[in-house]
Amino acid sequence: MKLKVYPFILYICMMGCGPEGTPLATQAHLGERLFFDPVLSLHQDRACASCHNPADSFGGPPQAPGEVSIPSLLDVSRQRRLGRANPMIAQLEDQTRIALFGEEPAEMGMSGATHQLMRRLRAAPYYCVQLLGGVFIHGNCVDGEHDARGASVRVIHALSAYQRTLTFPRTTLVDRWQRGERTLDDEASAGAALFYADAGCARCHGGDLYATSYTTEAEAEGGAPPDYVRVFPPRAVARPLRLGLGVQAMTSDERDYQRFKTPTLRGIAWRGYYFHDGMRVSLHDAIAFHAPHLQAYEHAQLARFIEGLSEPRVQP
Amino acid sequence: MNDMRCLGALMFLLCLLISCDRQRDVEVRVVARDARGNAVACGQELLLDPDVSMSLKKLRFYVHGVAFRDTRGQWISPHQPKGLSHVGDGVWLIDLDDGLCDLEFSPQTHLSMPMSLPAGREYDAMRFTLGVPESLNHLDPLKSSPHLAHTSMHWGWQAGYRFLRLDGTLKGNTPYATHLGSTRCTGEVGETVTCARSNRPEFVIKQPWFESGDVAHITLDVVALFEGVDWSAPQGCMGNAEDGDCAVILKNLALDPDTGSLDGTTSRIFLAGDATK
Repeated sequence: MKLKVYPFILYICMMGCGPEGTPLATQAHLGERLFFDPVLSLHQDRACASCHNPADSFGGPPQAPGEVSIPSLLDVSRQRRLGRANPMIAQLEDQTRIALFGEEPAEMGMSGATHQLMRRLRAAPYYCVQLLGGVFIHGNCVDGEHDARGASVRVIHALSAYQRTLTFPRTTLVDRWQRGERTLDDEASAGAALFYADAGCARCHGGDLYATSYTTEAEAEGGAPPDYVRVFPPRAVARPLRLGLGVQAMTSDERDYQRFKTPTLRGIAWRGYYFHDGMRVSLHDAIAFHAPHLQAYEHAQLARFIEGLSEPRVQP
Repeated sequence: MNDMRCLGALMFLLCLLISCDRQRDVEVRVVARDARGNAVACGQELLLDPDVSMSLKKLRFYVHGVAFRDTRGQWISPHQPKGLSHVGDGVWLIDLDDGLCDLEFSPQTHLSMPMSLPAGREYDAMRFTLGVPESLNHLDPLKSSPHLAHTSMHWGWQAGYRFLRLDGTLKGNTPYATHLGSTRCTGEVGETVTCARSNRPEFVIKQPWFESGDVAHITLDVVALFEGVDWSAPQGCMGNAEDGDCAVILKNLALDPDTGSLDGTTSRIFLAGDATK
């Protein structure tokens, strides 16, 4: 008997356990189902995936002119800070809770509706059994999680587990070049030199995520960590107003006006929108905006190198 | 004979001790009134000014630091009953929209502050602080006790609770919201968060308490809360003094908008007794 049980326990330990004692693989599987299910929104008219579009690096362009773009969820578990402009959020569970229950802006709009969420989940046979630990008999969910808070916590843990699986493959041209597995063509090599030296891109887009700033606290000024960079010249976003302010909404410090967390450059060539307001529609355009002092051919060299962080295109 | 005297003295002391320890269950009911003096309820037209009305959606706040002053000038903290979903940790959640506008609330359950006080004393003042104490302010609402588990009262992006929220729509279905809580917070949620502006107003209500019964009232004067707001261009308030109507509202709460501390004046937004019609 012991011989049969111990390997199973060992398997569970190797898999790792979620906060509810469920193996992480199961948590992530549940989370994936929830991620694509509009049951999590107040009016059941949108899922997480409606805005964080898997075909668009799990992000998306602004939903309407004057709004902010949707940040990508790729590699979200590797980021030191989450969200766009709130330096206090470092845990995926906290960010997910805000997305579900926050109001400013209301993403899923479930503020004050934890009981409604639990009733919906208990009415669905799959969630009754797999998420809430109940038994679905004759159209009713029997036993299992009855506490609205407990059900919400299970949803958040499952969604967070799924988001932790959304990692960008480290098999791009640039990754393989950095591991010495291949060379870059001449244009990309020149772009790499610019990226790491003359153009100064790596000063903010550094590290494995190409999003780590090497600016010092003193240089950054204001009340936010250096990973939050000021948009210059400022471009106001009308809706929601708070997000358009950047970190200033948190600190009320004028030096933090329109400071946003530096996004990762991985997969960036796939997108057709750039910056917090999505105002640039091509990578070349975005590079030219950032480095107006460079020549057009240098913009092209930089673009070639940065495109190498998105190639080959592999879905996570 | 001496034995009898001794026994009598012991009995007297015992009675004194029992009397000192005896508690009286009392209740402070909270009502809110508009410019007409009408009691406020969810979905009703709330008159803020002769020309300005609001359709109320939410009016809720937390109270802590409650104490009553007896006639000897001693402040006594009441005991809270157990087993109530809106009471605990020295905090009461008051829901003046009667719970009808929100699926998370049950109707008619959050309109009062039940408590017990030492019996046999007279009380002439009540003091309290609006909001949640700092030690509880940065918890995960979904892992907190029921009174702190209301997601509509949690201010996720500010990493704390809304101490007070009043939401509704003005003429033309324009949303209007006032949310008060600690702001200018830094740190990391789940670790340590500190807020530069506390924004916890304090109130003292002087009246004879529980003289004629175990139930007493206080009234939130919504008009006094918004006194000075320019209703020709209403902007609402999201906690920071720089936001829209915040500076005016914070001053009405006797808070210094620049520091979030008490400004030394007396707020008039809470009145003694039931001041509704």
